[in-house]
Amino acid sequence: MVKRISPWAFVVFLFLIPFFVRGPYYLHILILIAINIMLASSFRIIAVSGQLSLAHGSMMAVGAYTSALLVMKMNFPFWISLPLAGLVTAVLAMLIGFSFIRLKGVFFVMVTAFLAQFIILTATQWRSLTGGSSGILNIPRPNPITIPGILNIDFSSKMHFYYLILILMITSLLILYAIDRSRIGFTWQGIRQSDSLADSVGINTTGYKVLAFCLGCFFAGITGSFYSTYIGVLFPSNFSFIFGIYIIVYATVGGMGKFWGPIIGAFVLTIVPELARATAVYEPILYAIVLILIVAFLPEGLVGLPERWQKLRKQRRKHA
Amino acid sequence: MESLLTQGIANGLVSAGIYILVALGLALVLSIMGIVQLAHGEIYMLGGYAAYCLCNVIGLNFFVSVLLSALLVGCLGVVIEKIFFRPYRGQFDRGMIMAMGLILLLQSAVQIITGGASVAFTSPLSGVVTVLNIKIPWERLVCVLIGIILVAAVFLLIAKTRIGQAMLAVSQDREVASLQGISVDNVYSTAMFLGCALAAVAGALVGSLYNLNPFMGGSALMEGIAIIILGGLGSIPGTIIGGLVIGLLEGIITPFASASVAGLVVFGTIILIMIFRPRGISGMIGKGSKVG
Amino acid sequence: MRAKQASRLGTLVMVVLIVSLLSMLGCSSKAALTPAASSSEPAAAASQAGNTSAQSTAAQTLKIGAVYPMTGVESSDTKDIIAGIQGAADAINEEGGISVGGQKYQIEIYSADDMGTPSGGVSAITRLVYDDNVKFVIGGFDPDVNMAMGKVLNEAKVMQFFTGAYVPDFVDSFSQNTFSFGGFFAMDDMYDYIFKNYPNIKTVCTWCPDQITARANGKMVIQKLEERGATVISEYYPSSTQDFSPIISQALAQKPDAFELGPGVAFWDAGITKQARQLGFTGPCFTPRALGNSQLFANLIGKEYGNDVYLMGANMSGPGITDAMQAIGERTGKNDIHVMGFEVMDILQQAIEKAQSVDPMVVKDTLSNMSSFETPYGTGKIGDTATYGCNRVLDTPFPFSKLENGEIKMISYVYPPGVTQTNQVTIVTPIPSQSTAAASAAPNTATSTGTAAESAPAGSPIEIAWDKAGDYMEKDIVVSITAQVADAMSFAPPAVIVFLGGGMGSGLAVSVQNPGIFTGNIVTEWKGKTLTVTGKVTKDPMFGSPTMEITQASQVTVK
Repeated sequence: MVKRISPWAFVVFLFLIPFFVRGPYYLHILILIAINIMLASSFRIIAVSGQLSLAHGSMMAVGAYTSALLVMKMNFPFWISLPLAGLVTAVLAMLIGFSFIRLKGVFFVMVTAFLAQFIILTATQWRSLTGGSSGILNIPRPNPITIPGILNIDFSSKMHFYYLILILMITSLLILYAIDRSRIGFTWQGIRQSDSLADSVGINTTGYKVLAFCLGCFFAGITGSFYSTYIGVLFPSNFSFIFGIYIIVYATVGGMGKFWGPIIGAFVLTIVPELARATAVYEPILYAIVLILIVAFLPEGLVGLPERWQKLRKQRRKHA
Repeated sequence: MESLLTQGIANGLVSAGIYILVALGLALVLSIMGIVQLAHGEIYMLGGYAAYCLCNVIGLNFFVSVLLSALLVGCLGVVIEKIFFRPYRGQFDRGMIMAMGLILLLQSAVQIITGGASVAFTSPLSGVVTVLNIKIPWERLVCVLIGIILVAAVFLLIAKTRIGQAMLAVSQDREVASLQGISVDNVYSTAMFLGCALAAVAGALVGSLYNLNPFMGGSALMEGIAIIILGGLGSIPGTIIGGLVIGLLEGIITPFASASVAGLVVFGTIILIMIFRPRGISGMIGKGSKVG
Repeated sequence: MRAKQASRLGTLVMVVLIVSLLSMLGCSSKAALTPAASSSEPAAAASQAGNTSAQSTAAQTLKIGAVYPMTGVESSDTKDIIAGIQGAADAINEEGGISVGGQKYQIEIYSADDMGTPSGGVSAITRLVYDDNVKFVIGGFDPDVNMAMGKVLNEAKVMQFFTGAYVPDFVDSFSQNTFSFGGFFAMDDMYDYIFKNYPNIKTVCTWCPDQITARANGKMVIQKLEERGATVISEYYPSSTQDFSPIISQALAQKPDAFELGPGVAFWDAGITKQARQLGFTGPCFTPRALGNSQLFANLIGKEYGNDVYLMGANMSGPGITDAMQAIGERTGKNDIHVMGFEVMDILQQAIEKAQSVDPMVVKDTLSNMSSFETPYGTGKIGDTATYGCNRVLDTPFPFSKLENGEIKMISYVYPPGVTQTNQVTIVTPIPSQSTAAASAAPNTATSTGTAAESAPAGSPIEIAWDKAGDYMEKDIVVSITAQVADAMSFAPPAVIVFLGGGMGSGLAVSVQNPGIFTGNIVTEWKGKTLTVTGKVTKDPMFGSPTMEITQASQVTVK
C-alpha cells in the first residue's frame, strides 16, 4: 500500500513545487538537479553493463551542439531538434560502442577519457561547424506551445523550463526503469559480472553492451539539448573531463546497485553545495571527502543506508 | 624549413624527456600494483609545489629542493597507498573511484592552501646553449639530463637489485611471488615510493620551466596514460619509446600545423591504437608483460 | 522483505527531499559574505562593514553583488579583485556611505562563485538577483559566463560592470545593462610608442589564445598594427599551453621584429616572452591589455629576459603611482588587481551620487551620459559610440610601464583623449642608463633663446608642439631649464620627463646635475634643438625624491 501511494504522490508534489518555491533561484536549482539526475541515471545504465564511461559529459556536449545547430542553422523547431539530438548522440555512441567493444575494464575507462578529450578538441577546432572556442551564442528558447485562450507557454520564465525538464526527466526515468527491470536489464547485470560466462552461454554480449551504451548516450544527448536552450550559450570548455568525473561521483555516492541510487546522489550533491553557500571555495573538497567516505565505508552508496541500518538493528536485537 | 624541423625535433625530445618521467612513474605503479592511479597527475603537481616551497619559500638550493621534494612526495605516496588503495586491492571499480576522489581532494586542498594562485617557480639555471644551429635553453637541457639519469637508474634498479627483481616478479604474478617469500606489501610500498618520486621530480622540473597551478596534473596524466598505452602496459622500454614518439609527434607537428592539430593527432592515434592494437608497441614486438 | 525495503527507502527519500526543500524555502539569504581570503584584512574589514551599518541609524543598505570564478585557475586574481571591491566598500562606508537625496546608504557586498561555467554563472547571478536582491553587480571575468548571465541581467534590470576583457562584438550579447572597460586608445598610444622607439619594425607577430575574447580582440590588434605599416603574422595557441617553444619556433622562422603578446594574462604573456627570449628573440614584446597582476608577469619573465618588454600595469611599490593607488595598496594589498576592484566601486559611487538615485536603470542612464569620472589612475570617460558601438564602454587611464632587468619601470600614464585630467601625473624617474646615455653626459650650461614663448600653467606638464614632432633620442639637444629650488635639500640627481608634441612617445629626459641649493640652470644636451623650460624643483611628497614642477616653458627653434 505504502509502496504504491508514495511514488505517485511524490510526482504530483513535484508538479506543484513552483507554487511553493520563493523565486527563480530555487527553480534554477531544481532544474540543475533534474539535469544531473538525468545524467547520473543514464550513466548508470551504461555502467550496469560493466562499462564505466568517462565520456558521458562529452556525449551531453554532442547532444547540446547538435540541438543548437539544428535549431539555428537549419531552422528546425526545438521540439524536433530535441529527439534528433538524442538520436544523433545514440548513433555516434553506436559507432563508438562497436569500436571499443574489445576493451574491457580499465581500458574502456581510459579510452573513454581520451574520447572525451578528442570530442572537446574537435569541437574547439571545427570552427565552421561549432564556432570553436568562441562558442554558440543566443540559442533561442523552445518554440512556444499555445492553446489559445487556455495555455501560453513561451519559456519566458524559469517555471516553463522547470516543467519541461520535469516531464523529460520523469519520462526518461520511467523508460530507464522499465528497461532496467526487464530481461535486458538482467542480462546487462550478468554481462557485468562475467563477460566470458555470458558469452559462453550464447548471449550476444557485444549487442547488449552497445545497446546499453547507445541508450545511455541517447538520454545524455536529450539532456544536452535541453541544456543548450536553457543556458542559451555553448562553449566546448564547459564540458571538461572533470565534468565526467562529477557524473561518476553522483552515481557512485548515490549507489549504482539500485536504480534510485544515482537519483539520490545527484540530488544530494547538487543541493548540499548550494545550501552551504558560504563554502563555495570548499565545494570540490567537500565532494572529494564525501566520495572517499562513501567508497570506503558505504560502497553501495547512499541507497545502501536503509539496509545497513536494518542490519545494525538486527545485530543489536541479536545481542540484546 | 630545415631548421624548423630540427628545432621541432629538439623541442620534442625535451618534452619527451619530461613526459617519460611521468609515464615511468605511472607505469611502475600500474604494472606492479595493478591500480589505476588516476591521481598520479596530482602527485606530479604536489611535487612541483613541494619543490617550490623548499626552493623559493625556504630558500634551499634548486637541486636539493627537487631531490627533497621527490623524497617527501614519495613518502606521501606510500601513505596514500596504504590508506586509499590497499584496502581495495582486488576491487577495480572501487579503487578507481577512490582515485577520482583523490584527484578532487588533492587539487582542492592545494588550491585552498595556496589560494588558487598560479605561482612562479624560478630555476637558477639560465642561458641558452646552441648546438648545430638549434637553441636549447640550459634549464631544459638539464631537465632532460635529469630525466635520462633517473630512467637509467630505474632500469638498473629493476635489473640488478633484489628489490627490483622482486618488483618484476610481483608484476608478473602476485601470488606466485608471495609464495616465493616476497613481501608483496613491501614491494608495493617501494613501487609506489619510486613512482611518486619520479612524478614529483617531473612536476618540479616542469614547474621551474613554466609555472605551477593546482590543475596542472590533468594534462600530465593524459600524456602519461597515452604514452603507456602506446608503449604497451607493463613494459619499461615501451614506455620510453612511447614517450619519444609522442614527444616527437607534438614537437614536429606543432610548428608546421598548430598545437591543437598535434593534440588531435596524438589523441586520435591513441584511440586507434587502443581499438586495433591494445597491447601497444611492445605488444607488437611481442615483448609486453602482463596487460592491465 | 523487498516491499518493506522499498517502502522504507521510499519514505527515507521522501523525508530527505521534503526536509531539504523546506529548508530551502524557509532559509533566508545570508548576510554579506567574503570568500575565504588568505589575508585576514578583508575578512576583518567585512565584519567591520557589518558593524558600521548598525551604528548609523538613518543609513539604509545598498546591496551590490560580485560574481567571479572563485574556484579554478583564475581564483587568485579574482580573490584580489573582490578584496579590492570590499576594501572600497569599507572605505566608502567609513566615510558615511553613498549619499542620495540626503539619505545615506551603507554598502553590502554579496559575492557568488560562477565557477567559470555558464551554468554556474546562471546559478550565481540568479541567486544574487532574486535571492539576495542586489541592485548592482560587479564581475565576471569570462565572456562566455557573462553571456549566459546576460539573459538574467536583462530581465531583472540590474546594472552590471563587466571587468573581464572587452569583446568588441559582444557588448550587446551581454545585456543592455552591462558596462565594460574598453581602452582602445591605450592600444594606439602604446603602438605609437613602440613604433617610434623601434623604427625598424617591419613584421609583428601577434599571439592569440584560442578563446573567444582574444579572437575578437585579435582582429582589432591586426587592424591597428597594419595601419602603422607593419606586416602582421598571427599565432594561435590552446589556452592550456605552457610550453610555447614549438609555436615560437614556428613564429621565429618567419622573422618577426616584434611580438604583440595579446590578451594580458600573466602566464601566457610571460611564458611567450621568456621562452622567446630563450630561443634568441631580442625584439620588443608588448601588450596593451591591462595585465592585472603586473608583478607576477615580471617575476615569471625574470631578470635575465626582462628587457624591451612593455605592459599596461604598474609597479605598486615603485615610483609613479598615484596617491589613490598608494591608499589602496595600504588598505588591501600592493597589487594592481586590487586597484581594479577599487576603480569599479569608485566609478559606481560617482554615478550613483550624480544620478541621486539607487535605481539601477537611472544610474545606468546617468553613467552613459557622464562626461567624465575619476579613477585611481586619473580621469576617465565614456567611450564614443563610434568606436564601441554603444555608450556603455568606459575609457579609463592606464599606467604604461616597461621591464628593465625584470623590474617594472613606469613610463607614463596613458590618458583617454577628449577629457581633461584633473590631476595629471608627471613621472619622475632616474635616467635610464642605456639609450639616453648621450644625454646624461656632462651637462652643458649653454643656453640659447628660442622664439615665441609658450607657457604652461603651474603644475601641469609641458606640452610643446614642435614643428617637427619626431625622434629626439640620441640627438644632441640643449635644454636649459631655469629652476628655483623651493627649499634647501640635498638629493640625488633627478630627471624629469617632459612630454613634447602631446601625448607620450616623445619623452625627453632632463638630468638635474649639481643639486642642492641653487637657482642656476639645469641643462643637458641634445644636438640641434633647444628648449627652455622653467620649473620649480620641490620635494615629492610621496617619495621624498626631487621632482620638478614646470612653471614656464619657452619654445625654441631647430638649429
